[in-house]
Amino acid sequence: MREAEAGDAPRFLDRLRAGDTAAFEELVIRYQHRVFGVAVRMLGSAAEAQEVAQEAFLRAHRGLAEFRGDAKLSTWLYAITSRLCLNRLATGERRLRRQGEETLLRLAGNDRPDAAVERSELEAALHRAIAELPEERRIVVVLRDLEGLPYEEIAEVLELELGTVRSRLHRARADLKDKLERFLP
Amino acid sequence: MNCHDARESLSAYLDEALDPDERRQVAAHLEGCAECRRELARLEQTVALLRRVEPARAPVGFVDRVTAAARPRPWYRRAAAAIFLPFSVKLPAEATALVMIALLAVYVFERTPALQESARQQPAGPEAKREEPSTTRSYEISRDLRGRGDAVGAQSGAQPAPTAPPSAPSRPEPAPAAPPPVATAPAAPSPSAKAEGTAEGRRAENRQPPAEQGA
Repeated sequence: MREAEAGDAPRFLDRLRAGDTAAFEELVIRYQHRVFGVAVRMLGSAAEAQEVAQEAFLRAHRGLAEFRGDAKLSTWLYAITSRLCLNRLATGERRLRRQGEETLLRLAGNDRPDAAVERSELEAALHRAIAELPEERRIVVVLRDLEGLPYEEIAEVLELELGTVRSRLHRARADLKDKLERFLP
Repeated sequence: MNCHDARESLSAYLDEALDPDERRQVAAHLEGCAECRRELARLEQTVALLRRVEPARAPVGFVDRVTAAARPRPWYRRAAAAIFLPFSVKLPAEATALVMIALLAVYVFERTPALQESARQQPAGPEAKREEPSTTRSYEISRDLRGRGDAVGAQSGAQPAPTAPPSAPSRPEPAPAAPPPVATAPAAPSPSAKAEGTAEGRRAENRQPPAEQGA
């Protein structure tokens, strides 16, 4: 995990449940990059990712009073974000597909003149390979290899059996291995 | 454990996510299978590439946008929205609906001759209906073009009543306020229309070529 789960301290949770504005702002500051990261990897568009990430936090805000704390806050936020992304992809609500392609290039570092060409090429290939994965495999590989979640947490976030997480992750990595063959030593 | 089963578990083997017994079986297979060892190495390199991806960062101002969207609006804003906002949506919608209904009414009226007929006709008596000539529309038009004065003059016995049959004697004084007849006038014109028709007929007669006048 990238950060300690200090956000799950009981006192902080109490403040959140009580509707403390400062506590909510702290929550957004702490998790904004993770929530946005999942959304942008899943949707491929910064504009759509921002929309979904904002919606995820607003849903969390509305549901905080009922949040019992059985799961970690991060797991709960990942679950909301993943569901929103998968729903959006399933309903074909893709208004910003072209912009998404631009975002992928930007994420790959093509707009940074100082970035090494080789690295840009590799990152572009990586992002393209991830974007081409089927959605149900993509979300697993994003949560595991980009966000660093353990298998159990991924199973909790996506409400899947552990075996399903394992097999989807294996398929996703095998697909990526074939697509990135030329970058492997 | 065969190669197929071992490869299905390689990803979890890398992540140390297998239970001890399964892990031992995969390790034993890998020891004796160079092909699966190569596959494991490729998978490991792929995962290493993935972990080199830089974490995405939310855009600047994201926190402010989210917290602003989450902030409840003050009561007076909500009240204003409830009272005034609907009008900004409702009024143009109602205006559009009115215009569309009006256009539809005109369209239906234009497309339905029966409606036009009934709109032009005054309530007619039973004899008026009986004596109404069953001429075609083109006949009516040509008669109008020849001059309504003649047509009316040929008819005798025009009644002063509004529902006078064509046989009623024509009245000498014309009705100045009556509207000018149109080419598609009904078969039984009202007296005022006939009176106007007489004047109009005279004017039309003046416009006729000499041969037509002679006829």
